[in-house]
Amino acid sequence: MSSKLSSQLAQIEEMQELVNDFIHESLANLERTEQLVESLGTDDIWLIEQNIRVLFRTFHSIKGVAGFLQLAVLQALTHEAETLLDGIRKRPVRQSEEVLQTIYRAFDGIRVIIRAVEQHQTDVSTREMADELIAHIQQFIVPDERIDLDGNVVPQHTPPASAAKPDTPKDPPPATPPAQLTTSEIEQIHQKAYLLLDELHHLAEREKLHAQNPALLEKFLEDGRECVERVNGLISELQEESRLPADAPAMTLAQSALVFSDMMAAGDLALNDVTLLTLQSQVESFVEALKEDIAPHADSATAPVIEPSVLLDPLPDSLLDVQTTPQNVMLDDQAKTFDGGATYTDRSEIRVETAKLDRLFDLMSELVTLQTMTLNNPDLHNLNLPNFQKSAAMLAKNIRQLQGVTMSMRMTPIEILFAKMKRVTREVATHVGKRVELTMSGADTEMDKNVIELMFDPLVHIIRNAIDHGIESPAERERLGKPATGVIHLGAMYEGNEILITVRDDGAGLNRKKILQRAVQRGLVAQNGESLTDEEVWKCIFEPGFSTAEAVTDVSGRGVGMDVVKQNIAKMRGSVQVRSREGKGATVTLRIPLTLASMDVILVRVGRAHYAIPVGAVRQSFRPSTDDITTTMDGLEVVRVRETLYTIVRLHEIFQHPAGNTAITSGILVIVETNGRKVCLFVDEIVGQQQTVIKPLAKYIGDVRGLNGCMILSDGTIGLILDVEELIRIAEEPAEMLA
Amino acid sequence: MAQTFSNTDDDFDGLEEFNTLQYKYLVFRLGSEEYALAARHVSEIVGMQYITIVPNLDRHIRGVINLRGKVIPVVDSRLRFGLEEREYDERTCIVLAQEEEYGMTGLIVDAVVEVADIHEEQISPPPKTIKGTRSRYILGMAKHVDKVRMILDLRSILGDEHIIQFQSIEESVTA
Repeated sequence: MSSKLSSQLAQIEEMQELVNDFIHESLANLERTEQLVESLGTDDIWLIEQNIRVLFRTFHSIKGVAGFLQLAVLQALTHEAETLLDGIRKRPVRQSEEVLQTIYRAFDGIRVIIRAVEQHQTDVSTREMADELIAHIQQFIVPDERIDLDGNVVPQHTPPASAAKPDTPKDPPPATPPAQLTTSEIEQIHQKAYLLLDELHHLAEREKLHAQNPALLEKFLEDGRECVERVNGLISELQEESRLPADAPAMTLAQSALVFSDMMAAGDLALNDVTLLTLQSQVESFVEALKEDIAPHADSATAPVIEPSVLLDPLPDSLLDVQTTPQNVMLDDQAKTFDGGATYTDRSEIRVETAKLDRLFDLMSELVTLQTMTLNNPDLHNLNLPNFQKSAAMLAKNIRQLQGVTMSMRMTPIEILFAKMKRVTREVATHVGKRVELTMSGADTEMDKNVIELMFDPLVHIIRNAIDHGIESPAERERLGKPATGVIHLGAMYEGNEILITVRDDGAGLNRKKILQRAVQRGLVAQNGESLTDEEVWKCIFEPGFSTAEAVTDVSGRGVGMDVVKQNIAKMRGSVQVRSREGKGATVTLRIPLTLASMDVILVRVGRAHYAIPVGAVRQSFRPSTDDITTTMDGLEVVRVRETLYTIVRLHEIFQHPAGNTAITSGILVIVETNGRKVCLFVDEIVGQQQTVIKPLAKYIGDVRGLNGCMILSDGTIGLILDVEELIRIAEEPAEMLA
Repeated sequence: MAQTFSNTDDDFDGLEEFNTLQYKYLVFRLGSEEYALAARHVSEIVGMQYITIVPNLDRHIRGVINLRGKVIPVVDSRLRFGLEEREYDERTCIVLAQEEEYGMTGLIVDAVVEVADIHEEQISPPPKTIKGTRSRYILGMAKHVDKVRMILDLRSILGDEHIIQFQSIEESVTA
């Protein structure tokens, strides 16, 4: 009994693993392909054809596994989405806004269902949502196309495949076969062949899984026959469409595959791994032969070129552009997966859990620390060790390379994040009735994956704001002599160890008067802040709850937005800056460290303590003279640098530990700045600059005000990393708080 | 470095046993009293070393040390137990104790005495007089020759926010 139980448990576990794999795989696929949706709204037929295949495949494979896992809701939704996409595949023309919107909604819906499966192991809770979405999708499915599609993919409503053919303009009736096939027809045949192999692959996979379990096996046999029938149907379709003479090699092979699959579907032949493999190899050789037989008419079977003979093509010359765009390269890469038939994974990549990567990172940083500790070991002091030094230098070099590789493993191009913004832009613009085009540059800039994820919300907020508050309505823009369509430019570039992300719009710019008015109302600035600089005024928009929007819209105006941006960016140790020119537009610049795992710091000493200040915050350091220093009545020390006065912060006082020296003139003053506010830190000396790995202070200690974490110094002791923003806040508090 | 013992030390055989056997306790001294900590908590004992002061913490948290690249907080047991502060000497060491919620924490003790077997029958509940609020730091009392060793509850010692007045416990025990 117990062995039976344990085998059942093992099965459940196996199943669970399968579900988990499916969830991750599907989410990753959705994420990767969603950006292609945007291209369906262009006039670029070639691009549409390429991308629709990728999208179709995404839905198709989710549908396949969903069916297997008996996730009926998911299956129904992906089926509908697939039908919609197949329509586009048949008529690759520019798609309307609504269709794009619908496809995006399908993406969202599928994600919701998958999340539900992840949590509850079932998708029933999402049925209502899915039904609604399905009804919505159906509005966009042209009835003709529906029948046409189902001939291939869904046998439930299958009319004979040939019946639908005359309806599609691209497939001339087989009654009058021309001598040659057009390239696009060949492409279509390839696609069908691919579908065929795909089906078979699924079938074989399922057979493998089910063979051990009687209950599942029964279900499989049932579905399996249906599937074989579908394969059978596809073979005959291919046979027909290829319009090859009956004695062509492909035709003979097809014939034997047909006979074989007929027998399997009818139950004359058992449905097991042997028969499936045989069928698979038969179909594979058929597809190979088919490709060869029809290939002579095209230059290359794998790099289709659309001929003007494609009846629907309204913009044949757009092709020329496509061939030269860099995007083309990427798509070609993606398309490769299809040509090989039932290849499932891209073999040049493997997936690694992020937890493992993080562990590798930790170990790497420990290694670097230990290396410094070893090479700077006091025992080696004053020894003349030429051979040791040589080896040490080699070791150091290798470790540096290793560190570089480790770092690069987490770096991904910012492209996917940017591509998501296209969707956001279009949706928001449509929503508020404005016309906006999103342009971008530097999408290949690479960043730490963790950082990219954290960037999503802030970018969405900024773009929403730009569209809602920045870009004027088309009518207004025309009145102002601007093009009716506004432009938002999204740019990324490296600057030292930081990445700069800019969002520039050509709208109205920030409204100083309105912002000031609201700021005064909210008590953020003193009565009429006319004397404030623009920069100071713009800072108000980052205050919590600040909004100048007269009406709260879905898009913005609730006053949550820019403060969230600021907070999120600060979490990444980045900064936000706004520039604006009235009537010309505004630019928001985000400065983010390339990676959160390491940072450059200036190391300073105060008494026995070592503090690290992020390099980005340090403006200037100098040895002050007595004349520059003034002590106010309440004991506040200020130093004058040129025409500006800075508050002096004595770190040993804030952190309450013994000082090295207390006379300001015998120490060093370091001016630090964050978000435009500056103070002067008093330290004993500047030790140097170095790149460091940030470690949290122990969990037991928790957060300490004014500190961001700690780092291990080259002598093995620990330095504390300053939170400059918090320090400035402490400095600005009334003096008694410090006591 | 005055390394008294370490789980990785060659002198100490049977590391596995040490960690798995339930009745093993690490006995250390604070002033004249001896305390016992279940050996499964103890991962290592290191000599005193430079402690980086972390500002604005409770007085008993001395700061952090670097243990092979890991940052570990260090608690001065004397201060934690409300005993009087005392200069560290060559016998002072840091007991690295692992606790589920707080992770690895170092406890500064006057000296490590021994690793002792304490069997259940040797353990008696804390005397009534110290029951109530303070008894939660003590799991039990173990008789040893003419002395009593207090078996500590690591979690409450680390977790509780109040300074524990062990002085009074000792008084009540010896009374």
